[in-house]
Amino acid sequence: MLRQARIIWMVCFALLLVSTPLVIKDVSAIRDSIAIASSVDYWYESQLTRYLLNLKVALTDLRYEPTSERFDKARQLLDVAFSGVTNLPKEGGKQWHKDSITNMSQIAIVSQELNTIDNLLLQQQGGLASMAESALTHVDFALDKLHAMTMEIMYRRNERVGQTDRLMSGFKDKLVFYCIAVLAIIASLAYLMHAHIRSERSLQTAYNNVSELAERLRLAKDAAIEAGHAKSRFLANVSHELRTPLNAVIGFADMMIQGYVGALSGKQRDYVQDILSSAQRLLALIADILDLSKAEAGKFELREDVADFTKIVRQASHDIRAAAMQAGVKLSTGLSAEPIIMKADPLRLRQVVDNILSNAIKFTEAGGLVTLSLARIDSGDVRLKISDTGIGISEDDIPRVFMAFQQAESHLARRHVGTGLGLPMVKSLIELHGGKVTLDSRVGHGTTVTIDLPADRCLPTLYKKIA
Amino acid sequence: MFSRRYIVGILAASAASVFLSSAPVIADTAAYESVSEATWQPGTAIPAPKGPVILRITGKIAAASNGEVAFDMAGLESLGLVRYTTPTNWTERPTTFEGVLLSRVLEAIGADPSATTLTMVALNDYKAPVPLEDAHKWPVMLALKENGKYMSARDHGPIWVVYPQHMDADLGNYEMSARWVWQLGAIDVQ
Repeated sequence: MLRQARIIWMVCFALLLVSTPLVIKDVSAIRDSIAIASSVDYWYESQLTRYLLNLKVALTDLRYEPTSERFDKARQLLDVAFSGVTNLPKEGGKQWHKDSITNMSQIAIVSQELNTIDNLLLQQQGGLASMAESALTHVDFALDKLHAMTMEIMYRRNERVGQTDRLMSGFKDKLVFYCIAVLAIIASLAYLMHAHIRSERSLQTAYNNVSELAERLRLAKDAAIEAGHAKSRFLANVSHELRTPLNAVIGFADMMIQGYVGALSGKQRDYVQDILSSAQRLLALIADILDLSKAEAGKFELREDVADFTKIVRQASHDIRAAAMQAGVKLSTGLSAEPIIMKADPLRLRQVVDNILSNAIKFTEAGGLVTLSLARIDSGDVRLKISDTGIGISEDDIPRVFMAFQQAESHLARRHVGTGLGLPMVKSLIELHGGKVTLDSRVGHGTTVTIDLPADRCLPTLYKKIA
Repeated sequence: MFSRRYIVGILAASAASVFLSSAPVIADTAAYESVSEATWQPGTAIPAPKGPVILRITGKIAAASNGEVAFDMAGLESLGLVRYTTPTNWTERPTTFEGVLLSRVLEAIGADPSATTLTMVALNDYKAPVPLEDAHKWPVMLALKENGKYMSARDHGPIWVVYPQHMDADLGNYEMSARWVWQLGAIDVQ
């Protein structure tokens, strides 16, 4: 509707614009026609005829009774007849129009005849009577011409009036069209204005709603963040408090196994060993929780130092080789020849590598392969890539593995022991270093974890760009 | 902002055009200039015509002998001549006319205070009623000379009633132009 209104008003405006010159032309043609049709031509023509008739009467009188009074009278009337020609509308005057009788051929003839009569009156050849006689023939001739002119003026005038009528009726149609177009323009503009006001109003309402919504969202976000922080603080406190009694459990269990409290029977020894390993796992779990909550609360601080990332990776792979062999998994490492020295927290980097490697081995069946590579990529970033041929993770689960405690809910939980805090911790640690962790996986084919650390963490003196 | 300025511009332009169109056409020049002082003094008799009579005045007039006052050219000129240049409906360019003020003629003949209409009669029998007050409203002239030359009876002469159209363009409209009687021969005061 809005579009139609816009089109209507534009079309009408264009039509008006295009037709305006035509209408102006019409108006000026009508004005010309009216000026000509209502001109004073008839008046001047009839007066001229009258002067000639008066002159004819005077000359006729003079012919019958040639007195000087009658001669003077005739002369006076000749002057008047002359003035009738002289005083016709002149070009530039108000009564002038382009078809003025002043230009008609008959006027020139009348003027000529008047001059002839003037000469006759001056010379008075053969007496007044015969002079009047011959002057009369000229007057008659001039009157005939004037009559022809009258007819011509009438024809022309009829033609003009007819033309004006035609113009007027055409003009009337155009005026109707004009009025309709103007009304359409006004109506469509009014509609557009109305629509504009309405849309502005609804826009204002929508804006108000959005602002309100944004305010509510902001409050909700603040509340959520606050709740997250509260949870992290709570976890940190609880973990800390849990560790203290656990130390006693581990300490005494260890002492019992070492035999400081007397010899244990085979069964007792097994149970105490279970207590000890469970307690140690619990301690590790608590430590992980503590780290993660610190990281999430933003309280985690890296102890940055000069770290030889290559060496860290080599040691980690070396240390885990025994566990790999036990699981029947082959471990293949590909490290860059040149050591990668970085500004980083060496212990945390080691933790990251350990975590991913142990995951890879843990989720790979016997006979599988874990591949590890460390190199600098073209952009200068450091890339650590650890691939396995393990069970893999379904696409839907990939985002979840980076969330704390998510593994516990997965169907793998029963077969694979773990806290589910490893990958979230890896992610936090790498992000603290300004890096990025990505995980690609296909169920049944294996998983690839890629860690990219930014180039600016490499120490520049030892950085040799690969062209 | 733009549209407001635009509207103000239009208003100013239209106000200016209204002001200019309503302003007098010629405000600083005198309506007419005097060419010759009157040799006739009010209260004395009008000199009797010696040459051909060119104007006869009849009707409600005090100075009438035999019911009419006759002027020859010298008689009219003795009332004092004035001159002005005015556009006319019959000439392309403004024309300079020289003649006697109609008001002066009416004073000389002692037109009756109750008279209201002057019937101007031309040699060609054209007649036009002219309100007497025209003579007091404007310097209406009985012109004798057109551009310095006496007018002939074969054009507008010997006398042409001329209105000062240079003072007021309306004096050239259709109604008024009927009063510009040329070939004037007689005036009837009623």
